Amino acid sequence: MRPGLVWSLWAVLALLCGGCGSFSASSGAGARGAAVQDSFCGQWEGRWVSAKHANSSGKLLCRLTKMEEGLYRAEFRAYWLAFHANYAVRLSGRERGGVLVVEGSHELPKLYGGTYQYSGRVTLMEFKARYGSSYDEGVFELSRPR
Amino acid sequence: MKREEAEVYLACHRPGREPGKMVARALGMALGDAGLTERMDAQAAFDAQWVALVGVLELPSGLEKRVEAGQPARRSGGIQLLHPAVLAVVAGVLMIVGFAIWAWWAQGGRFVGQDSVEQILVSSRGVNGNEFKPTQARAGELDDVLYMQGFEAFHLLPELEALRAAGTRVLKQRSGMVAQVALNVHDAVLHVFAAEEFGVEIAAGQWVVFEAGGFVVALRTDGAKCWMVSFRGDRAEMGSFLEGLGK
Repeated sequence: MRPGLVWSLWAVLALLCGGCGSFSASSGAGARGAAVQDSFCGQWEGRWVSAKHANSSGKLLCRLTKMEEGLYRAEFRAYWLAFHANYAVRLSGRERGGVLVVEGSHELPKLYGGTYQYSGRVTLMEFKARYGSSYDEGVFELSRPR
Repeated sequence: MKREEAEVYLACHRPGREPGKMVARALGMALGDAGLTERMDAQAAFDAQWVALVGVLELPSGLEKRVEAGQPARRSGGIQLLHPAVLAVVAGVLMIVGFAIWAWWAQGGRFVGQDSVEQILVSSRGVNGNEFKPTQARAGELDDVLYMQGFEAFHLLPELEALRAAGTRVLKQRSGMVAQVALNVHDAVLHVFAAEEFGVEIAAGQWVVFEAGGFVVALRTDGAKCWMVSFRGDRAEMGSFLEGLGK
């Protein structure tokens, strides 16, 4: 088996494990919260691309919801080949000149890289973020669905 | 031999037959006892009357041959049905069936969870189509679209996947989330929701058809997910719709 394929399989395991472990614990109130939604919230779609493992990328969907002032919830659906996983991340966010700067983290078992850190910028039409852990790092590139 | 014993043995005496040892002793005792003799004569007269009566009875034809052949007499079917054991079983079955009918009638012939399912239909009653996000995809291709609208795990029965969709939306009910897909046929709406959240308990794997609020509704579950199709029509139209699925 090629090393690239092994890394990719590991990546999808991390994705699926992350989805199973974190989504149910954090889903619910945030997505249905009563906070007033701002113009950064809503639906996003694009891709995740690993900078560490060659040929590891996939479709990425996101629902961004404002939970309270300065706190957002990003619900991701990440695809890799025929697999997909849902997981949610809490992001702190502050707006500066029409740009929402977000950052947050997401815990996975150490086997899959431990803590994943996220930081990014959201405008009305673009949502770009970097993610990183001891296992993988890369970027999210999302835009508004057509 | 005591007198009381002699009375018992004398009852066994049959005039004209050779008495046994004990009966002979009782007869000897009766010769010297007028009371015993009188009782013995009365018993003999009574027995003679029964013998005469039995002699009048006609035996069923062929009985003698069957007795000689050692075959038991056959009972007719009617007599067997009236046997107490059979009657007890029939009464038990009737009682169980009656209880089941009563239980079904008591809940008005409704399935568990029908109230919450009908709430979904009430929410759909005022729909004019504008509430749905337009699509031209097939129903089986709407997983991501519905995820983006807030429904986490949309999947369909294989026979529903090919249906042409016109729009999608996610309905938030008190019981849980409902994915709704407007279909291009019958102005129908396909609803997908979790059986547990809405407390639906029906047999898995078969369509349950009912009418509610002016809709004809077909509901099916695999135990976890529920798929429900509703449109304004009658049961015959729903039957045709269900027969056409997957063809």
